[in-house]
Parts: sequence; C-alpha cells; structure tokens
Amino acid sequence: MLKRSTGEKVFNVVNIFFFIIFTCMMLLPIVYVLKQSFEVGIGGSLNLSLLPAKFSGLYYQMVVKEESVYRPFLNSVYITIVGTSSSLLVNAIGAYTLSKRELPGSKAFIYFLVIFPMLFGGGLIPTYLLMRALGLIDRYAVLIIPAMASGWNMILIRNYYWSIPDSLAESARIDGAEEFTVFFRIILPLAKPVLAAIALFTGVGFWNTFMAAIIYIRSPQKYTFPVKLREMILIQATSMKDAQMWEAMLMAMGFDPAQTAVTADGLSSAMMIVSMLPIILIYPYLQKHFAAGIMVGSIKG
Amino acid sequence: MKNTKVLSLVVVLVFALSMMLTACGTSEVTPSATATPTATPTPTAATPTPAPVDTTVAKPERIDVTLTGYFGDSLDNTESKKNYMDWMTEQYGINFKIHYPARNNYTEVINLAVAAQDLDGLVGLFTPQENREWMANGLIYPLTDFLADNDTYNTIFPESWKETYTFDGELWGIARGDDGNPSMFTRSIRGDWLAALGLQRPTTVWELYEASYQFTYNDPDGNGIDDTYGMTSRTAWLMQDLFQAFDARLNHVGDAQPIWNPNTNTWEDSMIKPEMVECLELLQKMATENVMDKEAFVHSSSVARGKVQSGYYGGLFYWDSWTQSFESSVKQNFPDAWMDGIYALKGNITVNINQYGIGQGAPYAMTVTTPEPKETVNWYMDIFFGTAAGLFQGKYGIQGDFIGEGMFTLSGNKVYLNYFLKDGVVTGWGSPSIAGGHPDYAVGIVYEVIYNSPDVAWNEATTLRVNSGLQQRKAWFDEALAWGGIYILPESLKEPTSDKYLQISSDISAASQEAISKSMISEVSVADALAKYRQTAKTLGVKEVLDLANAEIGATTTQTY
Amino acid sequence: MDTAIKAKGYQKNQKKILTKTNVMLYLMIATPLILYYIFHYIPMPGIIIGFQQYGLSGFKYWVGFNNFKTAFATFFFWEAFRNSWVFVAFGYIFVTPTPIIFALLMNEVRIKWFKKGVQTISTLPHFVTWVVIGGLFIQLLSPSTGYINLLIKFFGGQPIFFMSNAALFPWMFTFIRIWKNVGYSAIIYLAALSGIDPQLYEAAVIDGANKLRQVWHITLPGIRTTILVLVVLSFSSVLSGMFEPIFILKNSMNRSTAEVLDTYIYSVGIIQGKFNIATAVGLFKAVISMFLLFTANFLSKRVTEDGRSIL
Repeated sequence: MLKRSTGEKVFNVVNIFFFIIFTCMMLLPIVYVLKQSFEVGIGGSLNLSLLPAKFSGLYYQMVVKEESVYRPFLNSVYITIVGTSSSLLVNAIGAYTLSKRELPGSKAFIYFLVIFPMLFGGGLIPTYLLMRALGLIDRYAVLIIPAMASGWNMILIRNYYWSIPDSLAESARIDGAEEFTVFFRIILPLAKPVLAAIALFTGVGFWNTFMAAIIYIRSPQKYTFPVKLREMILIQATSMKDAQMWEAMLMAMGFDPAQTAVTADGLSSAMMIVSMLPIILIYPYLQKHFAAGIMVGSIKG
Repeated sequence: MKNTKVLSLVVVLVFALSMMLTACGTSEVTPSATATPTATPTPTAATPTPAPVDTTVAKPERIDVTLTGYFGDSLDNTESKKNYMDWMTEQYGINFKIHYPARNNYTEVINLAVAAQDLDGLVGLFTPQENREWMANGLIYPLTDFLADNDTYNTIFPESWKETYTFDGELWGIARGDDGNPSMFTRSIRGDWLAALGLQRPTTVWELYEASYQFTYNDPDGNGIDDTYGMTSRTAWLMQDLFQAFDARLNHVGDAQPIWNPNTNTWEDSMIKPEMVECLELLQKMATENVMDKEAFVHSSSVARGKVQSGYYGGLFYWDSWTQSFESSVKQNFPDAWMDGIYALKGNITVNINQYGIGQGAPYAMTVTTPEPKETVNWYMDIFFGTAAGLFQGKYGIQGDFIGEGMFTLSGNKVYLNYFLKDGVVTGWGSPSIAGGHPDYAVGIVYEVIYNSPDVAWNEATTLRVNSGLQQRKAWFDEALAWGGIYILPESLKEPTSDKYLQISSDISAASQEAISKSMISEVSVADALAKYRQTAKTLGVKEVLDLANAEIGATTTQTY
Repeated sequence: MDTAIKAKGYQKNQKKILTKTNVMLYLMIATPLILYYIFHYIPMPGIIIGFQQYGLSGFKYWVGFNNFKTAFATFFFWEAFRNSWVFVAFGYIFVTPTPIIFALLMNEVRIKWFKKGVQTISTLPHFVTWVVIGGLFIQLLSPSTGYINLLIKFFGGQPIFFMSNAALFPWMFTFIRIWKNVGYSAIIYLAALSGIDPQLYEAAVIDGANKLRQVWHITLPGIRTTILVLVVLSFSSVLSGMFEPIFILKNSMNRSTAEVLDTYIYSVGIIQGKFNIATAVGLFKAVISMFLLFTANFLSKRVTEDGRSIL
C-alpha cells in the first residue's frame, strides 16, 4: 500500500462529500415524485418537507385496481418479454455472421443494416401503408416485429464476439463442428455479458414503446403503458374534454369528483414510480455484466 | 448432403421464430383474459333494450366510427367500451366498431390513417374548417343525396346543424349534437375573498385588476401569510375575457387570429390594434406584480384548475360548469369559501363582449373509402337521432331497466344515470359519447338528469349539487344576457374560410402566441413584441386573409400592416 | 486481435463464395436482412414525396425542388435548424466532458459500497423514458409548486421560470440531459480507467509526482483513445435523438429556442398534413447526417489503435 499525503486525505473527504451531494441531486426529483405519489390533497405539496403531509396509498390502489391503468401495464410487460427475447435471438445470430470479416459481402451488410437505414427513411406515410399491407395495424406484432432486428445492436454484439479468442472455436472446428454448432456451443455462452447489456437496451426500448403504439394501435385494450402515462402526465387541455376525462375516470372508480382530494398529479406520480420499478428492480442484477459487455462492445469498434 | 442438413436446420429456426411472432400477433387477448372484473355486473343482452330504427334503406354490414373527442381518454373503461360495441353489434345486426385514437394525438393518427386510405366510416373532426379542408382534399363524401329520403334528417335534424356543415350547397358533416346548455366560459372568482376585503363583484376589467391586486397583497384569507395570488390562467385561452373587454378580441378557441368583430361587423386582426397594446401592458403589469400567475404559459389547464381548487388562487376564466366544482374543492381546505361567476367584464366596450354558443358539436365526416356509404350514413342518422332512446344510447351507452343493468334508463323526460355498488363504492360506466344532443330532448333542455344508484344518499347529494349548480349558472348567464355582455357567435363567422387562411393559420397562431406570452413575462417589451408580430403577419399575408373574409360579408378592411 | 479472427479452415475456401460454411453464415444473418428489407427498404422510395405535392389526399403532381424552396423560405425552419446546432454545441461543450470528470473523481473513491451505490443510482435515469423524465422535471421546476422554487422562495429569492424562459431553455435542457446520462456515459470511462496498469501510478509516486500530475500524465493518456472514439462515433447522430425530449419539454413559451428539426418535421408533416414539406426537410437532414457520418468514418481511422474505421 502506498502512503497518502494530507492533501490527498483532504481531497478524498471533499470528493466523498461531492458525491453525497451529487447523489442527492440524482435522487431529489425521484424522491419528490415519490412524495407526491403518497400525498392526498391539493395544498399539501406547497411545503418544503419531502414527506407527504397526508400519507395515503390511495394512488397506488388506483393503479392496481383501475383497469385503464393496469391493462396497459400488462400489455407493456407482454411486448417487452416477447420483443426482447426474440430480438436478442435474431441479433445474436446475425452478429455472428457480421463478425466474419473475411466473409464476402460482410461490409455490404453493415451498409445495408446500419448506414442506409440510419440516413434515409421513407417517412411515416409509406411505413404506415406497409404496416397496413402486412395486416399489422392494431396488433401487438406491429410493436415488436419492426423493432426486432437492430443493426447497431448487432454491431455491439459483433464487437464482443471479436474479443473472444478464436482458439476455442478453432478446436471445435477441428473436431468437425459446423459454424452453427460453434456459435451455439462456444460463442453464445461466452457472450453472456454483452447479451445482458443488449437485453437491457432492447428491453428498455420495448418497455418505452410509445410513438408506434399511438400511430398503429386502435383498440383501447392494446395501448402500452407510456401512452397511458403520457395521457396522465401531459394533459395539455384544449377543451372541456380534459376536465371531463378526469371526472369520468374518478366516477368510474367510485369517487365523487367534487368531494375527493385526489389529483391527476398524484396519480401520474404514482404511475411514474410504477413505470420506473421494473428497471430499478432489474438493473442492479444486470449491472455487473453490463459494464463488461458495453465496454468491450463499444470500444473495440 | 450436409448442405441440406444445414439448410433445414436454419429453416426450422426461422420457422420457429415466425411461429413465435405470429403467436404474439394473435394472442392479443392474453392480457385481457386476466383483466375481466368479476365483481362488476356486466350488462346482459337480455334486459337492456335497443332503440328502434325505422328506415327503408338496406342495412350496412358494418359501421365504423372514429372518436376523436371521447370524454375520458382512450384507455378508460375499456370493458364498458367493448361491451357497448358488442351490444350494438348484436342488437342491430351491424358490425359496430368504434376506434379510439390516443388522447392528444387524434390529429396525427387520423391524418396518417386517412392519407393511407385506412380510415373507414364516420370520423370525428374538430371544426368546420377541418371539415372543409377534408372536403377540398376529396377525402369525404357529400351527404345530401344519401340523406335525401331520410325522415330523421328531413324532419328532426335541426336546420342550424345542417347549415354549419353545409359548404358549396352540400352537407359534408353530421353534427355531433350538443346538450343544449349554452356553452361558454365564465370568470370564476373567490366571492368570500371579495367579501372579506369589502369589495364589490368586479364589473370592469380594471376593477378586476384592483380586486386581484388585493388578493395577492392584502391577505384575503386572513391567515397572516402571504400565500395568495390574484388569478391564474392557461395561455391567452383562459383569460379571453380580458382581451375581449379591451376590444382586442381572440377567436372562439382563444387564439389571436383574424376575428369577426360583432360591434363593427368587420374582420380584423386584434394583434395590430392599439387596444392590444393596452391589454398586453396590463397583463405585463399583472404578471410583474404577481397578480397574474406567471406560469400561465407553461402549466396545463389541469394544473391551472388545481391551483384554483387548492384555494390559493383568486380565480380563472374557464368553462362555466366548473365554477361549482371549484367551489366544492376549495371548501375542502376552506369550508367558508364560495365562488362567484362573471360572464363578461366591461372595458373599452360595454356590449357584445364574450361569445357563447348553443352548440351543434363537432362534425362527423364520412370518408370516401367507406364501403356502403348510403347505408352507413342513413343507419347512423336513424340510430342516433331518430329517437330519444337512440340519442341517449349514443351519449350514455346501453339502455337498461334498472341499476346494474345498463348505463341509463329513460322514463318520460327523465334520464336516470345508473350507478352501481362495487366494493362498497358507487361506481359508474364509461359513456360512449358518440352523439351529444338531440333536438327534441336537448336543445330545449326538456330532459332532466337524475343520478341513480343503490346508495340513496349519494344520489340525492349528487343530483342536488348538479341541479343547484345549473340554476346558479342560469342566473348569472341571464344577467349577462340582459345587459348585452354576451352574444352568439354565428358558426360561419368563427374563422375565415379562405384557403390562404388555412395555409397560414398555424403560423399566425405561433407568431401571436409568442408575442403575447413573451411580452407578458417581460421578456420583450409590448411594443417590440407587437412590432415583431406585425412584421411576421405582413410577410405571411394576413392582410389578404382579412380582405377575403371582409369581401364575403360586404365589408372592407381598414387595417394596414 | 487480428490473429484471432483469421480462422485457418475458413481461409481455405476464400475464393469460392458459396461454400458450405458461407451459406450457413449467410442463412444466419437472413432474418435481420429480411426484416430490414421489409421495414426499412420497402418504404424507402417514399423519399420521392419530397419532390411531389402530397397532402392528406395523397399524390397530386410533381414539384421538383419547390418543397425545399418553401421550407428554406420559412422562418420557423431556420429557427429549428439553428436550435438543432445550438444543442449540438452545448452537447459537446457540456454533456460530453461531464461523465469524464465524473469518472475521474469516481476513480478516486476508495469505499467500495459507496462507489457501487452512487454508480447504480446515477445510471438508472438513463433507462427511464423521457415521458417520465419530462414529467418529473416539469413538476420539480414549477415556479409555484415545484420543490426547487419552494427552496428559492424559502431563502427569500424570486421564483425562476425554468421552463417558460426561452433564453434559459438550452441550459435547462442541457442540465437535464446531463442528469439523465452522466452515470451511464461514465461506465465506459470507468471501465477504461480500471484498465490502466497500476504499476504506472506506483512508478509515478516513486518519482514524486503528485495527484494532478498523475492524472495529467497517466490517467488522461490512458483513456484518450476511448474519449476520441466516443466523440467521433457520436458525430453521425448529432442531429437525431432529440425528438422525444423536445416533444415533451417544448411549450409555447420556449418553442423559439426548443424546436429542433425532428419536432419541426413532425408538426409540419403530420399535424399540419404537409407530408411533402416534412419529407423534404427530412431529406435535407439526411444529407447533412451523411456528410457527418463519412467525416466521422474518416476521422475514426486516425483515432483507433489499429487504424480501423467505424463502418
């Protein structure tokens, strides 16, 4: 161990202190919303306390009980699970081909999968016409299939494959294994860190599905959670609909709008917390793999 | 061969994948299967009765309706919505489908769908202008010929509703209908604060300023803390009465665009009138002094409402039905509080200040891709406007006999809105709100709404509150009508109709909004903001819009840029 | 690294393209290729809408470059164009360096659990959708009920209108971007820092170098490549990825400094139904992005260790 000078000790203390303040800054917005989600009554949010004035789990009860809230939640869970697993499979397999630099056409694949699509899009009208021709309008599949293959994710996975020593694959090849077997037996199990990272990316992407749901989904039963969340958070009223929406929702849930102190802000706060929950729960477990995966994937490009 | 082995392996893989995907496409019922509420009494087809239909036109196979203004958002009451569609389909033998685009994105969704020719049946649009635009683009059918022999259309459907959506001699949209209550805004103001400060109810815009100033600085609630504010708003939209009083009018949706001035019978651009300078200077002063909520241009109207409801803000110009609701909410924190309503404030002008309408509701237009246009529109007309039962069926939902079976019951001129007990609380249904009003049962306000649930005390309280609210509204309204503070704005004079206007309307709006909002929070001076607007308006060619609109009513534009 | 890629059995058949191995590899990438063909290439000819009169009722007639002329003559287009570049500049000046500084300081923290905790907390916001982040900050910064302004008022200050002040918006937006991404972006730098040989530091200490000198002579050169690669990589996408946050944080007060090309395309194209103008502006954006991409590719050959390009 090296000895530390006084200056260094002072620096360390200051540094720790800095990170404590930093963490508070990171947490403040979330703690504030957490407070609002537990607080019933309108005037209460005007004080400096970060604890609710009137504590109540009412908003969370509303989230759990109200069909228009939990159904979009379940829809999002569904498309996230199906979307992430299929997307991961497709990209992991495809990336193996990309990792073969000597394969004729491998450069062309990159142009085909990444460069051109990134630069040129046909716009919403042609895309909409396509979805309609494929019969995808108003089906969950429209939220999953078009987002399934991702050139960028394939590149990240490919870069990780490059870092795996080829000697392992080579010995398998000598034993007569074909590329497909080599990939599934040898490469894939070793690529867990990058796959964990990509799974997180893709999963978050599906979890946040928003624009596609607004444009292609027609049935109220099939909307995703962010759509509902935005309906709650950003009520940019242009007419009486706004007011009546909130009243109708309260009535449907058994509240008399004029007599209750529940607010749209409170409910949307609770929904924000609920929407963050999955990531808060899952991330710490993926974190370890994540750093390794993302690091190799990005740098070795 | 080994190649074939490999090939088959990959084919199997791709096949398995596509199976998985097809599965996720078709298993759309999965989440809903778990979501069926068990405690809710589901309306059964046996008891509730459909409205009868009397028409000679053949039955269409299906009727599609796209709702762009559903009361409640697209995700509310999904079960009620589904039941309703199923029920209608079963009762009339027509495949009845309602589409609900997500809230706030109606325009995007229907624009995309119609451009992709993927929008069938009747589509709810927002304004006559939009209706006209769709007509000009050849997206919708003219309806006059289809409805020529329709009895409901010829005898019951009001002429004024037809006029609104008739362009170039043809009907292009079916009015949604309105419930017949005068539809307008009122300034809700804290009556208890006025009384506590010994002030009269303001009648002019300057008196309102004085009162609001005292609301901010003289501790109207007497708690010794400086925690009260004069008033709040949401953009110029929720302070229209101030602009109107100065005679710097905003249009019917509170936007600073070319408007028709009832006192001079000319179209004009308020933004370049000297009165606008006066008005904006007062607003700037109010914002600087914290008399007006500076956040007015940022927060949503639900926040603005919430602020009034919290009991710390003196008032707001909003839909008049809300005055009562504000009062109930404020009473939660301040039991002695009450609200007063002001339908118009005098200022530079003393008559014809704020507009009101006996609404006919937004138009439903029928797209040219509708398979059986004549059948569809005739059945639509007959189902929803043929009888009172049909109307309420489109407004409130399934007609049932008693509580828990069907969303409403009709008995003479009384409409019973049925609620039921769920987990011990009174619970309602989601209303489809396809139709809004009926000439016989709504325009003359001859029907009464009664809240109906097993909890009698709840019924009485709610019915009482609603009815007393309506009476109070009526009294304030009559008062303003008597001295001429309010006037009816004819539908044809709500907005200019020229193509030029349609082209530049959103740009005018952006420019004027910017001038108003920036000058209000003193980011730029009023003079500079308006000068910038004048320059933009000149470039855009607003003069041309005014000239065209004035020529139509035989007037001449007096303003120059 | 390069030796690892050269598989002997693989090289033998280099001349023939359709060898058994190659066919199998092609089949493995077939699914993504087909999906990309369907969902990206079939709609791509839609670009021609930019040269047509095309509204709600579809194609009317050809207009050549008139749509571009119309867009370029619009004040609001140039406003959006300018703002896009302002955000790009703010991004490189403020958003890019912050995670590097964060990582350097974090690297000095010796308490393991503390380090891990701070890292976990600061990374999380990256994964939260802008819909939520927007809602969070709008509530937090509200002049009347927001916590920050309550604090300001408590200390006797005047409430600040964070979201409605157009001059303040680029700064606010930059702050929120940093808040959302600093922890996440720092992961890569932290990983790179951990890869620096500790013996170098020990040698420096023996030479009597203080902390600052160590950072300057060992740490920064150690992560230099990482920084350069990431900066260059980000070139090509500078004009994209701004849609959601701006869409959510934009209001009538800050629109003049908030509107970017992506949101401009959306409101002109879909809300106003002028699909042709929107497509033309999109195409214009694509040409700029293409130029940036090839610049980045060229530069990347110089900054990577083995001289490979990013493409």
